[in-house]
Amino acid sequence: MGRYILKRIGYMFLTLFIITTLTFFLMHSIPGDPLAHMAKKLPEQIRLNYYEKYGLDKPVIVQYGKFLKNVITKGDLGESLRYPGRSVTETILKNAKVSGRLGIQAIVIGVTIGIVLGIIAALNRNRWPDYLVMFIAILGVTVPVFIIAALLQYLFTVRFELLPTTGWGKFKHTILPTIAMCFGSIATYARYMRSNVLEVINQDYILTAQAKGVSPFNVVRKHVLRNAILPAITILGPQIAGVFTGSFVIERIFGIPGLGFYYVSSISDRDYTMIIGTTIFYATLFVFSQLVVDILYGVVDPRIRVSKSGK
Amino acid sequence: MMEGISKDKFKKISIDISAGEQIARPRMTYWQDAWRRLKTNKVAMLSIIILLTIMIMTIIGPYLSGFPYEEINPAKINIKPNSEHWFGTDELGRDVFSRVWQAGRISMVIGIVGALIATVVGSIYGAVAAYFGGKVDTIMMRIVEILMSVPYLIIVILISIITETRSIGTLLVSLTLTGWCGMARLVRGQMLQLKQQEYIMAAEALGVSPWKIITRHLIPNSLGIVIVAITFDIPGYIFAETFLSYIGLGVQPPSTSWGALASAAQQNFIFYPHQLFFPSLMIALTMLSFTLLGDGLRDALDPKLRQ
Amino acid sequence: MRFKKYLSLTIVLVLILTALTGCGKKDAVNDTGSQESEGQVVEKPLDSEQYLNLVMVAEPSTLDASKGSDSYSNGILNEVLEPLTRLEEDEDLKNVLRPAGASEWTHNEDGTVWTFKIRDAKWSDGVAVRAQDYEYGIKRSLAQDTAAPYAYLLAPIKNAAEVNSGQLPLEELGVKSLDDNTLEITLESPTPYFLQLTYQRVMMPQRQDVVEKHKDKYGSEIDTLVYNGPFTITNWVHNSEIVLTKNDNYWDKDIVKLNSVNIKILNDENAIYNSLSNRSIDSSGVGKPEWIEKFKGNKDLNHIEVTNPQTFFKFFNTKDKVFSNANVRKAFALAIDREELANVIFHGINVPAYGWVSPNISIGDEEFRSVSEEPIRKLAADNPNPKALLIKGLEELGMDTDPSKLTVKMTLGSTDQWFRTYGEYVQQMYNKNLGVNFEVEFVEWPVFTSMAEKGEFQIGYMAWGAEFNDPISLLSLLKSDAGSIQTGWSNERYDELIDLASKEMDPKKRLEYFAEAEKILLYDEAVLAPTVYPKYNIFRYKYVQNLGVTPFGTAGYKYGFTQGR
Repeated sequence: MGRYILKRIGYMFLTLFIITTLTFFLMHSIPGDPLAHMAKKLPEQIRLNYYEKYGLDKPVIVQYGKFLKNVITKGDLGESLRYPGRSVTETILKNAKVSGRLGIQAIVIGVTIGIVLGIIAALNRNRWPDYLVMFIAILGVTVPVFIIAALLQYLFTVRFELLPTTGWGKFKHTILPTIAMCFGSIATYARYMRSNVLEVINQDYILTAQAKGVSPFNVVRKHVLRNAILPAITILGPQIAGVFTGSFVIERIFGIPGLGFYYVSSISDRDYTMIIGTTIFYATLFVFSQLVVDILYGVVDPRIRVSKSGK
Repeated sequence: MMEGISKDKFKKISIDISAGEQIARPRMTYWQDAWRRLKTNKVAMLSIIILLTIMIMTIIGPYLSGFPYEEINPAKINIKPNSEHWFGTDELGRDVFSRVWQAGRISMVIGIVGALIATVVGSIYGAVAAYFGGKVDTIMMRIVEILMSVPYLIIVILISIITETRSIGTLLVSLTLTGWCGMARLVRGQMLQLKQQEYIMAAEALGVSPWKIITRHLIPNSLGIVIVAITFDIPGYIFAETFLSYIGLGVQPPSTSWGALASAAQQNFIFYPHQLFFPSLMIALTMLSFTLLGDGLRDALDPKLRQ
Repeated sequence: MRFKKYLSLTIVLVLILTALTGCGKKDAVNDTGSQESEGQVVEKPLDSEQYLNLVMVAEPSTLDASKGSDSYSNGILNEVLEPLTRLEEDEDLKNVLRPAGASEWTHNEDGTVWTFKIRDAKWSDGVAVRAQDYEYGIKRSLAQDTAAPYAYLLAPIKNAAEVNSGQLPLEELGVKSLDDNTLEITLESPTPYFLQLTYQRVMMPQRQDVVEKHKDKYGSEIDTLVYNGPFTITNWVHNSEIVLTKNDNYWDKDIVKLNSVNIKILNDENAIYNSLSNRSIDSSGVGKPEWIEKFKGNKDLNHIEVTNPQTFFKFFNTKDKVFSNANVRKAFALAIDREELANVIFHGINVPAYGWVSPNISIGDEEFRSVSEEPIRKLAADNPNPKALLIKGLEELGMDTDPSKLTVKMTLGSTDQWFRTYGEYVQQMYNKNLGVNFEVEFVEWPVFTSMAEKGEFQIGYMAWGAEFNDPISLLSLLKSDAGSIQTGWSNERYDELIDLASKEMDPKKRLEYFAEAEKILLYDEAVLAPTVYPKYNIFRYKYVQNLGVTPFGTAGYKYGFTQGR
């Protein structure tokens, strides 16, 4: 296992390198430059000065070399072009903390509710609790999140002035965004759990356990849950990565200083350093979560030994 | 002694091999059986009816009200639903009824075609990776990680610049270019589990070719989870387009989609709820129907669930 | 306020900013039926707690006065640094330039050497404010390696261009401090609008020791900043909130009544309006007509209408085959029903524009627009049939004169919902009025700028606002060497007129030059087709008093207070 993990970490760096390189050249190939956000065409001299200061006058390949050197030797992702003076690394870490807190809150609640609903539905297959539970679980994701968020905000902050409209810092600020965000997890997990529990429940070992007189509760807890939860882990992986990258829509509507904003705005602002920074951040989380998922496969399901893959 | 028996005593009968298989009931294929079971599922049937209705309406709906979907009428801005404009009008006085169905065409096509492409590509890719395992698996999964990590908005912008349009085709390309990766990972996960099963080992021992094992055994047996994923993917693509519309990178006018209609109406939903309600209702109905149909299909298709 | 971020944001979002920087036109204050208009309440005592909650639609890019150019950081800098002068408002809400960082100033006979007396004051960290701080600020803004986007505003200063391009060392710049309290600025030539530059961010004071300590990080976080304005910044959560607190070291601190101003950074329109509805914020610009109607019905809110010194306009690529012809351009400039456009697209909020220089820009003591007729009105009167003009133009070009065989494309630099609606509307309008095939293309703003630069468009659409209160701010953009609006157009007489006006001290003569220049631009050549002057609506709870309201004014929150909250 140890060698396998080591090898996977090696691959991880290679993958990250390719992602970074690809993104670097892709982003320089879309038209526009970081000065565009200033909305007007600036005099030529101003533009020359700006390009020179930020090294944008050099060929892309030279810029890439310089960037790589800084990342590898100093671990420095550089300075934002859109927000002069701000370090990309610091900005990402600071905002990821905010997004992370909100996202984890939403995922924990969403996954818990989703798993419980999924099991209830499966155990009552094709009877009214099944329909009701699944209907509730799905309802929250049938409407785009920007509509749900806008409705929640109007309802709970204007119609009934119960919660703050926007802002960040206290628990009460997180309530509405968390609700808006957890619908997705509820629906996803409820459906996957229902599907998996149904599959597991017909396996011979469940029958055996039942025949041996194991209580229904213990059957579910010891046999069904453990075997049914595997595919759920597959989707949890990328979701955890997504937690720290935030949600553009939710952050915008509730005025939350998270990272989601930068994923969209850095691209439309052509803030090259920020684009690369956020990409590396997301890719690292994502690739790492893949590794963890693969390892967890082995732990949760003893039948699978990834290390022995190959036939 | 034998010769003593007269040949007359023997009667030649014909051998009808097919008759041996004859059973009282008509034979049912896997699909017929699945369909029979699906038919008993009322929720799934209702979903099919709703979906068919929506699809038919997206074809004929834009012509029913008598108002072309793109016709501007400055005199009739933002009016409520009435007998003339069944769903009301929008900020430029265009008929919302016509627009909703016109938009449905784009949304439905994006959802269904997008999901199909993703499923086909993703399943095969995931199955191949899982079946061969080892180096092949590692490299194939790293490629998926790369594709999933490159900022998707850059790709959307890039493709719209290269093709110089933001047509439905361009959108489909940008959405599916990385969209199949999720399916590939899901199928791979499922396959890793399946390939340890005894019947796969048996097939291998009998010398069945890898391609046949993948297509005959691995894919059909993970069909359940794939079907669930497809019915999730269709609304997923509709939603992805909705998000692009929200940030302004969706379909280009005069084309429109449910997402474009909804994000336009969201700004003013307090004043003109009807403009938000109808596209949202369509998105919700479609999503709900596909999801419930998916659950029904899963139950019907799963050989292990035969009662 | 004069500087817009994205064009898209300008139209939809910047509206709200007006509330913050306090642009406004007091004579247009629409008091919604109450007697308590601003400044008239005398019976109520001041609130014991003096604070304001306001909103801003985007994060300030940087509070480094030299870098950045967005209106959001301009607004904040105005509150926390003390420029040489402030443009304040008198009782009649006319703008008056008042001493601020400089207590007085004089100039030599021909107006080329200006001497400012710097007031005795302290920075927020207790260090004395000196003339050298102002000198350093200006020089840093012009230094080549600062790469300040706004540096070009300082062009009238002697050797500014040469210093900015690195041809001359910084010491050659016409700015020097004679002693701790005297700043001398030498100009290239007499500049009638020079004082309008003295309250711009690129002329604000900066502390050399602080800047050198933090280097590139200066202005990015509050721990890198010192202040000498009415307020200091006590909290800055990027993309969320900025908290201003009264500066006890401010030279004029007795006049400052507000103890704190909390500015939320929000860019979702509905979130902003919801916040205003439930009093989470005290004042905001409102762009949506439905919300404007709703807030008008709220008895607790004052409604302030602001015509901002901006123009929304279409511009033609004169290097394009079709649009190289003036008659074709005129046809397209005239085929817009500006009244209907203002009503349908802008819901009657904006004012139809028939000129390039927007209202609220003055020349001498008069508003330019009130003394100079809008050229497109005359163009329309002389040419009642735009389609005939088009046919004439096509004939001159030797092209097929059937308009229905002509396909023309307009490129819009935004993918926003609003632009989609706008594009679809314009498309129908041109189809109807000129009978041409009119296509609309929507691209992201940075893509648009790059296409415009390469001349890969036929008709473009933009908004531009004046940077300072002088018609030259807008008219100089069309000089052939300005390259600001990519029309590819150049005209010797036009260039000559602008050069003359930029050196002429007599307002009467300047008016003549400007009027002729605008006529060339719009009547003779029709290079641009202005469509509307944006008008913004501010809603402010009635207890909010004395925030600056004029478009160019920089008084900000200095004199603000609340009464009867």
